[in-house]
Amino acid sequence: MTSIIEKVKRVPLVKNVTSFKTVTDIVSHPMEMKLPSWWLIGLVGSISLVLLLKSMIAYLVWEGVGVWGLNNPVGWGFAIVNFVFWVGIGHAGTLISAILFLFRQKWRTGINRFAEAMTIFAVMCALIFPGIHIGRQWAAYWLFPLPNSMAMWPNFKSPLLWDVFAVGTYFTVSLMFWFVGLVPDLAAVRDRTTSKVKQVVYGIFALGWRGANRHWQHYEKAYLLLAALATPLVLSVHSIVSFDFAVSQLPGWHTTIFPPYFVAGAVFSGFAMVVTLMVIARQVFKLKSLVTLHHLECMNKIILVTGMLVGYAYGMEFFMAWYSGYEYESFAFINRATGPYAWAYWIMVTCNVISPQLFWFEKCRRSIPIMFVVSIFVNIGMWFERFVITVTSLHRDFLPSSWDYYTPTWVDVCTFIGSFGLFFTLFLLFLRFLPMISMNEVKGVMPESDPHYEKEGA
Amino acid sequence: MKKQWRSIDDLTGDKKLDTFKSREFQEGATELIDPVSRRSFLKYLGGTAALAGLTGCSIRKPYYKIKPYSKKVEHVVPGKPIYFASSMQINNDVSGILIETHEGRPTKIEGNPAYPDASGSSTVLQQASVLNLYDPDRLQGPLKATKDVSIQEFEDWMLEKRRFFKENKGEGLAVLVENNLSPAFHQELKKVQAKYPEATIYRYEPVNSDPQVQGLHALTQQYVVPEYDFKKSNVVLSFGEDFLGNVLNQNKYNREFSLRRDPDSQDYSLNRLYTFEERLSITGAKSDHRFLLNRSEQQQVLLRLIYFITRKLNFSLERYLNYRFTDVSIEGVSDHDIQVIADDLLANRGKSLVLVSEQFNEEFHQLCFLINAILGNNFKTIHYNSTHFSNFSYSQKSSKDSLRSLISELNNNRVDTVFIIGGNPGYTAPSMSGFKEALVKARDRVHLTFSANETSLLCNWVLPRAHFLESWGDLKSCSGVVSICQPVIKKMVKGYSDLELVHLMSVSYSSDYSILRKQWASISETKWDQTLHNGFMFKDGRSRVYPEFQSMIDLSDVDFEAKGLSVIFYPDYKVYDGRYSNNSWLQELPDPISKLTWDNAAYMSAKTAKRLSLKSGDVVSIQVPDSEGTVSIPVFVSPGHAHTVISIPLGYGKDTSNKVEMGAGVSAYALMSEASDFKVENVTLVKTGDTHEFATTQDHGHMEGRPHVRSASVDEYNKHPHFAKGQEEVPHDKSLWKDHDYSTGNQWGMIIDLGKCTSCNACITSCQAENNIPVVGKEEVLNGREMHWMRVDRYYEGDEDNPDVHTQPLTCLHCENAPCEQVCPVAATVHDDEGLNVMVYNRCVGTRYCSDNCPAKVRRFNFFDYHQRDPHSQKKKRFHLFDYMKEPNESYKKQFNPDVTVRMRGIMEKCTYCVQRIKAADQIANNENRDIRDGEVVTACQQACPANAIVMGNILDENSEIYRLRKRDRHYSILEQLLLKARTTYLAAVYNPNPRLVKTKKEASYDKHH
Repeated sequence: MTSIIEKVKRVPLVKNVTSFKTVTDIVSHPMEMKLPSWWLIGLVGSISLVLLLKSMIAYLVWEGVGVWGLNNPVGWGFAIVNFVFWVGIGHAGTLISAILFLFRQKWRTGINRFAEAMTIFAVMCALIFPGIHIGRQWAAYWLFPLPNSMAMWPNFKSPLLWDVFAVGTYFTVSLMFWFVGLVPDLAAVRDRTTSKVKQVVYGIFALGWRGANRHWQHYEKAYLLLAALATPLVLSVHSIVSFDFAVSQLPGWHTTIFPPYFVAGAVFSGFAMVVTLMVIARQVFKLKSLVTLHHLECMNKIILVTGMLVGYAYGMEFFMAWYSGYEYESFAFINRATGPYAWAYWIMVTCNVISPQLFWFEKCRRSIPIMFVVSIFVNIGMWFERFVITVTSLHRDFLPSSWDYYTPTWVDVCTFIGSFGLFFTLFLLFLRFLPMISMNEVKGVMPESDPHYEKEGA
Repeated sequence: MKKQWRSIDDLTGDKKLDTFKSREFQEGATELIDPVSRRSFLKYLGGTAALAGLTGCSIRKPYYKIKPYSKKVEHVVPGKPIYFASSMQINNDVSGILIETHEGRPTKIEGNPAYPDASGSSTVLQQASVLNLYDPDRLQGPLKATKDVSIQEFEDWMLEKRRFFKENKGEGLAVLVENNLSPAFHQELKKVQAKYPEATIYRYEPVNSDPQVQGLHALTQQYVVPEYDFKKSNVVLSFGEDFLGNVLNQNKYNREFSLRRDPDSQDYSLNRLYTFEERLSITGAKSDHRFLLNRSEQQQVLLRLIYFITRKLNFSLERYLNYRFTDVSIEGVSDHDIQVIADDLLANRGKSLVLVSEQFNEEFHQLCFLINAILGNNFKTIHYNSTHFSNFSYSQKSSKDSLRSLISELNNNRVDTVFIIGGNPGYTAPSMSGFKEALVKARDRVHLTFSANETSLLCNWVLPRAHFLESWGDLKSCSGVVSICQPVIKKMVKGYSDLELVHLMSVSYSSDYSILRKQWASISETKWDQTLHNGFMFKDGRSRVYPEFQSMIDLSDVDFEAKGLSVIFYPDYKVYDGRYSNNSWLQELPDPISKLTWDNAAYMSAKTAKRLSLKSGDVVSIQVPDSEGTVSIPVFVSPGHAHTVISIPLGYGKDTSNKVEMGAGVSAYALMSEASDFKVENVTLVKTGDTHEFATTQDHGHMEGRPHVRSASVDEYNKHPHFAKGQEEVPHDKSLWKDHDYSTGNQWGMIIDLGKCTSCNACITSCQAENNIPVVGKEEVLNGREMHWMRVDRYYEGDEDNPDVHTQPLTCLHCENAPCEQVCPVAATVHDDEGLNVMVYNRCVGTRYCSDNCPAKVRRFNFFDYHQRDPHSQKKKRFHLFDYMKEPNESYKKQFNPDVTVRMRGIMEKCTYCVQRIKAADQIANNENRDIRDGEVVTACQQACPANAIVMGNILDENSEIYRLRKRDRHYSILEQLLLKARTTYLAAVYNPNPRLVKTKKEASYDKHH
């Protein structure tokens, strides 16, 4: 009796890599290569945008919130939209590192460092906005529960306060997670570099990593613990951001679907941003062997799923508005789709619901130009989603007498553009000075790391 | 050595223990078990303390020393306001006022409840007039040919002038005065006339009741002004008369009319108001039946009414009216409608009232006198007072004629010197009259004025005019109440009061006080003091007269055909005829109907606009036939206009450099000709292609079928007394936490009777004056950032051409379960135990979350420091990093109420129920060891409201007015479904339409919501 057992091969996570050293070489290359001129130009460009952001903030603090386009019914505008947008983008990183780690999705190793860095920077961009959107920016610290001589204590019923904690915690844990993951790689860079300065600086941050067994043991445990700690945060942070809206009683905001809907939306936008950036990075830094089309395809699948979730939420909102029989809610949603801001709503639907449908086709999922365009669309669409939620609900609420129209000013727009400057500045620095792919983890998922590994043909 | 053992296990030689003992570091020893060590705890503590130190960095420390009185001023207790009684005049309306002063600064004007026929309420213009006192654009000293000179120089010049005119007996001396109801002023004028017999005195008032006075004079040979009694009128029929707007006795009419709009009143039954209108006025908005007709058609309606009534009564018109009635059909109103109105009037003979707009022609007023006579209303619901000073020739002549003769004198070079006492004829005289060109022909032109204006530009002597709060005077109201006006502050400018200047014309300077005291020398010192204290002297009973027909009404000159498109003019609800146009409170006040701020416009109906293919904001050039008059003015489409009529409010488009009025609106006087009775016909509109941006405070006028303003007809009310209740589905109250108990102590609440409110806006201005509310300017109103704590919402319902109008004053609802409070992260808005939703300004960081969560959107955010951005603001004396370069104008600052915080930028504010007034009453009650009595706490809006529509009080006090009102069937709460438990609630309006008329009016939202 003969039986042919065919080995079902998993898709290899790295391609054309012969040894561990090759991985280190590929990842270290951007840090060691001659400074490319496009990088410098990019950095100068983004730093000028940072200066734009700074001057906009200075102008804002000097003149008052009135330099923005806000008015009486619309008390929240671009600042809050941008805040939610950036926090949303900051979602993919921790999801990839923590949740996919716990689920043992090995393809995450190719992109997790990159995504986490993006998370940190996006949350940094996000954190600017709650601080500056308030009327008296110099009193922003009153939102923290600090013991003080004014006998002041924050109001723990307010979702804004929960926000302070949620986003603060998220940022801290994400940063720790990212840093812990970096330690072995920083040590590798330290060991490779020939520059004294780099040796010292990387050495400090490598925390004396020697790759000892105990180091690895502690590292693995810490990483697992942080992953477990970060997992609920992935869900909590955007749930709580959604509470800013859901806990209020404004039609269009006061919706129980918001927490899952916001989380799905955040993952959606986060992955889109990773795809946008990764498509470029793997091209210019020649990372195609480590970040394969398979990686990108996996991400596109997630984009498709979350995009559908978001689309479902859009539909469900309308259903609930009708089913509840609540006239103000029904009006709010009809107004969204047909009112003065219908253009924003339809941009949102087109970008978020229609464009990801292309990913049903494998060809599209694996086509670099298509995924790049779709990911940009999703980024735009998700920004508009927050705009639609924030502005259209506010601009027409209960009493028709208070209805008004909100138009952003040049300061609003420049501040938003400036926040991209901050994001890209940090990102460009990251690309140049830190290993953008987790070497140790990629090596861990290579077939060579398996003790029973046999070289093909050996 | 003997084996020492640590435990039983050790003794028995457990294997595991061996490994334990041999390991230096146990498994997991490198991991932190105790999360915080003592040392790190101390570190955290230190860090926290260092951060807490930050909170001590107070950033707004004033470092100027305050200066106490070195000697205490008598009666002045710092922090306690003192009230002075006085009276003031606006055109021909005199009202008693109480002036609130803080440490010598007048800050607010209220009505004087002791004044005859007054209830302590006030109007928009009275409320706002205090700001004029502090207007930084006021002239500070005399100007001679635009150069600053001393007052002495002027008096020297006057000395010469007096000599000159004494020699030529006053030839070439002309004096132009406004409507002035001061007996002393007229006595002084008499002296001028006695001294210079050849001198002429002229009177010009752009907005006047001359057609009425002249018309009735022609008929009865008596100079009279009517005074209406709305308390006794069951049926009111108004032809264009906006008696709830800015007219004579506005205050009284509002109050009396509102008494008859309360269906639950024990003393009064509901009245019924029919209006015939060309434009939508606030009176029209309040009416039970409203018909849109131009004034020619209205006159035909009146004639038809007279015809129907006389036919029914078999009354012979032969002795009164020479007119052959013909059957005419009037578009917009059927004979049936007129019949029904006639029957209604007939059923209420002696208890009805027919009114005609002051601005309509003389014959119209004569017909009105006739119909009121036929109906027996004269001397019952309508009384006649003789006009004061009617023995002076300049009072007898109409403004129009007076001005015309002055112009012709000027043109004939017969005027050497003209004194213009107050007014601004250079602006208000119809452009076509040629007044400006004529004026400069006089050798010397003296103008007494508050601020530089169109007239003063043409004068070689410009003198600052004293405000009524800084000068002595006396007034005699149309109904005969004589009062003394006392100043409450020393003159802030080097100028004259009217009295002083007229006095100066005949003799040397003497203060207005001594002139006045001499005039009233017959009055004892005690009586004088008493007069000053009470605010009035006596009511002259001789004013009331009983005019009768002396001649027949001649309609031969009347043209009943309206010609083409006509433009009508009316005094603005805010800046009146332009005299208040440099008052920023008024400029920013939304028009009660169009909600327009900082502008006027050519209002027209949607139909007219469509026919001319125009839309709101299009600038058109209006051309009057046979004249040079054209005006470029933006169009504003507003429902409720007759289709052949465009209306333009007066008072805008000033050509001055005064910072507030500059650039606001377009002057309608440029279209007027001498002959026009506030109307020009046959105009042509040419679209210029330009567009104009209007700043309105309410863009959406449709209620979207939501039950915010509730109303019903009286029939429905009788059938369903609880119609206002249950219009919203209210969910069960499942609170997450236990609600606060508000069942003891003072629990403040407010109730607003929508049936009474006439949307006159007095409440808004009063609130602004009381609470230091900044003015934001047109740009910021356009951005939707007006700061008024109170607003009056206006909704249209039904027919687009002639809609029903619903109005609703709205302030903070002071919800017990306030959505704003839950969401504020810094607890800056909280509830006090008296049920007030309070704002802690110092604590607010300005997240605006409260405003987002406020369903009524009554919270107002300081997007900028508006006091600093005022065009009048000035450079700051002190400087600090987070404190800006500018501060409010020194002059405006003096008006600020010291009991109310002036808010900085970046914080939220809103209605406080005038918490400073509550606390003041609380202190008094505390000192007297008693509870606050009902009526002791009066909010600013409540105090001003002429219709008495706002009541505030303790909702737990069973003897209080508010308790009683809250038990009414009409009582309801808006947005009840949100479980707000609002303290500000409403009484639904009940209208009284005639069941016999087609179902057009106010047919209740009841049908819709049940």
